[in-house]
This record gives sequence, structure tokens and C-alpha cells, in this order.
Amino acid sequence: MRRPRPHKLAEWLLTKLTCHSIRYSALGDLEEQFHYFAGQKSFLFAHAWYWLQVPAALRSFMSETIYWSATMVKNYFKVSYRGMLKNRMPTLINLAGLSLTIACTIVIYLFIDFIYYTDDFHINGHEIYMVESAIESDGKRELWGNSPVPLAPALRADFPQVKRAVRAARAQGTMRYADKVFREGLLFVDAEFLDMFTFPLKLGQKHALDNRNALILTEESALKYFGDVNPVGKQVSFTFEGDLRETFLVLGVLEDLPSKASFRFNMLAAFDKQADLGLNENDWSKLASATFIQMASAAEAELVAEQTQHYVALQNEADPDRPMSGFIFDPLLEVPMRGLTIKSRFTHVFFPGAPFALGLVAFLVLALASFNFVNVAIASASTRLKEIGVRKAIGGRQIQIIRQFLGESLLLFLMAFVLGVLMADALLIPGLNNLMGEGLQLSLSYVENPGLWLFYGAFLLFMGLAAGSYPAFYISRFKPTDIFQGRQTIEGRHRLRRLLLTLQYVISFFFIAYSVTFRQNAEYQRNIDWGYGEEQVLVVPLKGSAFPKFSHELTRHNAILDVAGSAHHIGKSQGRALVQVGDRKLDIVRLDVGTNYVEALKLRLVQGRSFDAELASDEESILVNKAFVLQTNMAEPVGQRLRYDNQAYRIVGVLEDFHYAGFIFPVEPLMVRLVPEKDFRYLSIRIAAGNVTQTEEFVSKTWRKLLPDEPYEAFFQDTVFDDFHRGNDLNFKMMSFLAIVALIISSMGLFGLVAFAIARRKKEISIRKVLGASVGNVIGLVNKEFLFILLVASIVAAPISYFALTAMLAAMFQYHVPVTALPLVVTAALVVLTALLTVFAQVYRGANLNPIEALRSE
Amino acid sequence: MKLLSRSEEIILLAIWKLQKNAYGMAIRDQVATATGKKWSFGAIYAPLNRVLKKGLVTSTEGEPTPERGGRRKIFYQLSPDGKRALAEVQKVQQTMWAGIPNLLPNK
Repeated sequence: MRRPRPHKLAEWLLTKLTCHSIRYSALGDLEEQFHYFAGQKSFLFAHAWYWLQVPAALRSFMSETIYWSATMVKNYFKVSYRGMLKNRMPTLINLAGLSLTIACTIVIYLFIDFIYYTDDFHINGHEIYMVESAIESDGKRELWGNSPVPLAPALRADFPQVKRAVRAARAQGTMRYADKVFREGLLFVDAEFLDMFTFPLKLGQKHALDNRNALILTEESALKYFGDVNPVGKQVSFTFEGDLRETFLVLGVLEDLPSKASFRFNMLAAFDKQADLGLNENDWSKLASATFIQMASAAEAELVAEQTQHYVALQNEADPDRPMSGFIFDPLLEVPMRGLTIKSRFTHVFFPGAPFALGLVAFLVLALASFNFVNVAIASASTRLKEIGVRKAIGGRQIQIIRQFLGESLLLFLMAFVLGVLMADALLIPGLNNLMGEGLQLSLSYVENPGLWLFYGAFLLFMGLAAGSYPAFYISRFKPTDIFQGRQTIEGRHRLRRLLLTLQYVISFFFIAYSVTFRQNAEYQRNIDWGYGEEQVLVVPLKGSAFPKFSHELTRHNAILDVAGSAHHIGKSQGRALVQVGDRKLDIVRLDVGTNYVEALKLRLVQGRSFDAELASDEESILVNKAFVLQTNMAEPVGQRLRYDNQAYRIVGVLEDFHYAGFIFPVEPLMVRLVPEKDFRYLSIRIAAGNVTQTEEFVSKTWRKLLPDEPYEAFFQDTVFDDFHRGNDLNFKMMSFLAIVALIISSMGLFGLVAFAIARRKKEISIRKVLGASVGNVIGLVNKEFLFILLVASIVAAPISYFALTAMLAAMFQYHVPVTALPLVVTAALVVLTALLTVFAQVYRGANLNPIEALRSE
Repeated sequence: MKLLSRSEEIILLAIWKLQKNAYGMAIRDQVATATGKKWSFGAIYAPLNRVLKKGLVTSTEGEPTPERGGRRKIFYQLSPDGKRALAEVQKVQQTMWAGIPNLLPNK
């Protein structure tokens, strides 16, 4: 019979827990006691007793091991700290490079997170669908974000599956409270809006919008009008287009909108209120900006969507010019990622490739920093060989050395990480928000974004271990005898270091080429001909009713050459029109303007005539652009007819193509038509050269005299694309920032490699010199190696950059420069130049070394 | 020389009494019978380690036994220093106790 023994697990635990010096005898004692109890009392008792020794042993274990581990860790820290102090320059550069890349990565993470989790704060988010209208135009199916006003009530009434249906309509106007007057956007919504979407109220009731005079402000706008005063119960007046003045009662204040909202608003009003503004809610030809419905599942949504054909019929009957083919229910959470082609979008959307592109950039930058870290770590290991040897000789095990080096890299990464987070929070994010303006506001909000912690932890651990493990495992393998006999060198890994360096330079090359090309492109786009006279035109947004007296007053000034009103405005707004040309239906851009607009903005007429104020029949005349003529293949456009909105128009002139909305999209076919003065929203003033400042003063003075209640928000026409150019600048700044980071990090890698190569070849160089080699020979010899690396990197990077940049430019802009050899050559020159500068001092010193110094020892 | 602590003194005395059989378990039993209290192994090994470090005892390994899971016993013997330390304690004890009547109740 086998002798019973204590439980294996308990024994193992005790082995681990008892302190080293008495482990052997103490365990024996414990087992003897166990048998004693087993004989005297019972096995059960003996087992229980033995198990109880485990917690009993814990106390001494804790004090023992923690003490010794702490001693060891203290030693590791001390060694790391001394190492960092000794190699101050490489440490600082490594730290700066790493923290920079970490800051970049955090910002990119926030960006991607922002894109993927847009709108996910809505509790019902996954149940909400946006209704889109599919419209056939010129044989193509287009999706529109707006939908008929009666659709939501009809869906709610006809389908029990539809839990909620909410409409939203945007309106513009001027809001006034006491002496505060601002131009505002208002969002009319159905009363259930706040039930469907999660926008928490700070003050007031959710169902306040049941009252059709109710107004709910966001905290920001409440502050703007009321300051610290509680706005609930206050009355404000709002003047809409066409001079309709309505009074609203503030009944609630919303907390500020989450940054990840896909649509934003300043204030909400009841949808029904629009009846007072002349909206017939049963008219299927009237459109709401958006309709949202809430349904339990995607399957149900599909089912309901299939049964909406009779609504389509109703809408087509009411508005035959806008032939719809169906309604589509698009999940709210997916719209931002794939809604780029939707016209008249209610929500904002992103380029579908954006997360991938950003992720790629983050990956490249991180790879760069990690490669460098590995190279620097291996190079610095050569100076630490003795330390490793001593550690091993006095009993340090390989695992301890690995732990030490991994710990060191984690420590460095932790420091870099803290710096990186600070940098991101204090510099990059505010800078980026500032550059990007409204709509996209990133923030390091740990409450709103708990995933950030997870990201931090995973990132740190992964980077620290991934970058640290190679040097750690490599270095810890060395044998102390080899180290002390000088047989251990780090030559064997030279190939890997060269490969990493080449990759670094490929990445840097691409970033630099990107910056140079996009700089070139921005310059090109800044100087592109806008197609009209954008200079010396002052534009004042205003209401149609104010137009006659204001423009009359202005025309008296002799420096004002032309004054024109318009409903749309180049660079600011344009409409769309579904027109019938012959038997074709075309979706084109529409500009509604006043008679003098073509002259005031100096649109270039290539054929026919402009509008004539004297001709009453010009209400049915339109101008088209060249793109229109091209698309319709009209041989003789002037005199041709087309139908729009149940009305016939005649083309009287053809305009040169002009850029009405930036350079991202092509200039589409466009028509310009006349609209009555009451529809005007902009006033354009052409000022004679040399009188701009005084005239601008005159305009603003006149405004304050005639329209003291209205906000004066004039701008110069040549600033309308400033946002676009700012976007270009932003792109350039971000990428050149990355390019500089990349170049610095690669230079560091190169520096390390060359320093190492010279140290290793000291004797060879000396012997060559003794045998008659000149300084030039030696410099050539040393430079050959890294020039080869740069050459390979350039040869690999140039075609990659060329194709990638060509594809990127084409995807981003309709009007851009072609990628030429110039940026690639500039980049290659820049790379080689910085590399030469980086290594020059070292190579020169190495080449001028006195051979005696290196050879004396033998 | 510093005086021994009470627990060290007790351990040393137990080792002396056990002579050739002075190892962990036996020491613990001896001490437990003498004091009438339970002593944990920790309470034995802590002073034992101290006197070992001070050089008051030396240790030798015995043969492995099956009831110890194949582990050897570690036997302890007093070193001359240990004996001297005990003598010191005894001297102090006797001096201090001299003239004090027997405090133990008679059986």
C-alpha cells in the first residue's frame, strides 16, 4: 500500500511560499506532522491541517519575497536610470521620437474611434433608421436624405411595427431676445424626437415640444442669449425667411451635444409650428430634411420598406418632377460610414477609406519608432555586455536578464507614453480641433470614452513587449565566458539592423513625398482660376425684405460698381434641380440669383447674353454652364428649352465653368435662373479697386443705420474657399509633421548604425591608413554602406510613393496636380542630405583617427 | 555580549536536551511540552534561523526518510558559542533569582 501523502497542490504552494533557507527542512517537518496527525486523528484532519499551513506561510513569504524583489527592481531601476543618464542624448532622442509617435497614434485612435462610434451614444441607436428617397435621374439611381413631410405620420399610422417616427426640418432665421440678435439655425422636430434620440435635458420636460410654441435650446445657445439666467419660461422672437415673425417660449435646455453626434443643432422647435409658417403637412410634394423611424429589428425594417410603394405613388403624383422609385431605410449607425453619395444629407459622413488610411499611417509611424527602438537597444547593448556578463556570472538567470530588459523597455515606453499623452492633450488635439473647426471635435474624455483606457493598456503592453522582446531575448542569450573573453560581439545581427533601417527610410521617403506633393497641390489649388472675378466683391447675407432699400442706398456710393441680390451664392450655397431636357432627365446644380448677379461676380459669358432687368420675360430665361452643354450635347444651346418644376425655361446664354463649391468635386452641369427679390439671402457688392476699406466701412455703417435689428455678417468673396484651403493646410501640416518625425527617427537609426560600424572597423580603417589610404578613401568606404541603404530605400520607395500619391490625389480632388518626378527627386535629395549631415561628423572623426590610437594595444 | 532572547534561549535549551535528535519537529514537540503551548513552525524556525546566523548552533543533514516525503532531516547542535551564551543567561538568571522564594505552588 502506498503511504498517503499531503495534497500535491498544497505541497507545491508551500514549496513556493516557504523561504529559501528553511524550505527543505520545514517541508519535511510539515509532512512528518501530517503523518503524525493522520495516525493519531484522521486523514481528513491531517489534510485540513496541512492546507491551513498555506495561508499561515503567506505572511513570511510576503515580507521575504517582496523585500527581495523590491531590492532587485530597485537595482534594475538604478541601472536603467544610470544608463539613461550616461547615454543622455540617445535616450532623449528616443524618448522624443517615441512620445511624438505615441501622441500621433493617440490622435489617430481618437479619430478612428470618432468615425466608428458616431452616434453610438443614442440608447436606441441600433433601432433607428434614416429614410432615404431613391430617385431615378438620367438613368442613375440617386439617394436623397430628405423625404416627404406626410411620410412619418403615415408610417406611424399604417404600421404597428414602427415604434416611433420623427421628422426633422432645418430652418434659418434671426433670433432676438432683448438686445441680443443673432442669425440662427433652427431644427423643427416631432415631439418624440427626444424619446428616440438620447440628448439629455438639463432643464425642462422631454415632452415640452407638445406645445407648438415651445423652443428647446442647447446649453451653448442658452448661454449665448441668457447668460447665467434660467431661460425657461422666457419668450424669444424668431424671424424666418420671408419676414415671418414668430414668438417662441423657451421650455427646456439640453446638455451640450455629445461630440460624436452625426448631426448638430442649436435649438429645437415643434414640427407642427411650421403650419404657422405656411406648411401644409398633408402635401406630399413638401420635403422634410430628414425622417427617422425606430423599429425593433432590421428584418422588420426591410419588411416595412417593401410595403411603402403606395407612398411612392402619392409622392410622385404630388410632384411628378421628382420621380421616386422607392424609400430606403438606412440604419442610423451605418450612415456616417457609407453615406458619402447621399444628396442633401442630414447627417455628416466620412470618406469610407478614412479609418483604413489613418490606421495605416499610425501603423507606419509606430513601426518606424519601434524599428528604431530595436536598433538603438541592440547598439546600446554592446556597451552593456560587461554588465550582462557580471549579472550572469554571479547567478543571474536568463529569465532575469530578459525581465530586466523588457522592464527597461516598458519603463522607457511608459515615460514616452506619459509624455505622448500630455503632448496629445496639450498640443495636438487642441491644434487639430482648432484647424478642423466645428463638426469634428476630438477630446481625451475618459468618461465619455472608457475604451481609451483599454487602448492605452493594450498599446503600452504590446509596444513595450514587442519592441523590447527582440533585444531582451537576443542579449540575454550571451554566455558570460564569451563576453569576458571578448568573443561576443553584436555583428551577427547586422543584416537585420540594415533591413530595419531601409524600411525606415522607405516610410520616411513616402511621408516626405506626400508632404511635398500635397504642398505642391495646395499651391496649385490656391492659384487655380475660379472662373469668375472673385476679387473685390463684398458679400452681405441678408433677408429679402431688406434688399430694396439697402441696395438702393448702396448704389449711391461711387466706389460701388455693382450690387446684386441672390438666393444662392457661389461658394456658399447652391440648389439642385431635376430638369427635363428633351426626353432626358438631368440632375443639375441650380443657382437662384437676381438680375445683376452675373455682372457683379463677373461670371464669364461665352455665348448668348446675360439677364436683362428690362425684360419681364427673363423670368423664364436661364443661363447654363459649359459642363451643361457638354453633357447634353447641344450643338446650339442658346434658344433651347428645358422644363424644371413644372415650368418651361429658355437658355439665353452659356457661361464659362466656374468653381461654385471647391475643387473636390467636378464642376457639374449648372443652371442660373432669376428669382424674385423676396427670396434673396445674399447681397454681392463689387467695389472699385483701391477703395475697398472705406467702402466696406460705408456698407457696414449703412447697414447699422437701415437695419439695426439685423446681424451684419459680411465677408469678401475671395475668402469663401478659405475653409477648403485650411483643410489643405491642415493636411500638409499634419503630414509634414509626420514626415519630420519620421526623418528624425530614421536619422537616429542611421546615426546608431554608422557609429557602430566605425567603432567596429576602427582597426581596419587604421590598417588601411597605415598602408596609404587617404581620408577621402576612408570616408568613401564608410559612406558606401549607408549610401547603399539609402539607394535601395529610394528605389523601393519612389514607385510606391508615385502610385500611392497618384491614387490618393485622384480620390481626394477632382482638380489636382499630377505627381511628377520633381517631388520624388526633392525627397530623395532631402533624405540623402539629412543622412549625410547626420553622419558627417562621425565619419570625419573616424577617418581622421590616428592609426596609432587604434592599433597600439596589439 | 547581548543576552539571548527568551525564545532563542528556549530553542537552545531544547537542542541541548535533545542531543543527537534535535531537528525541527522534535524541537517543536520539546518546546511545546515544556511551555504547555502550541508553537507554530514559524515560531520555531524564526529564532532557530537567528541563532544559526549568530553561529550559536551548527547543522548537519541526516538520512532521507519516507515519512518526510523523501526529505532529509536537518539536525542542529550547539556550538561552543551557543554553550557560552547559555552560560551567560544562566549566570544572570541565578543572580537575579537569588533570594527570591519559590513562587511555584507546592504539589
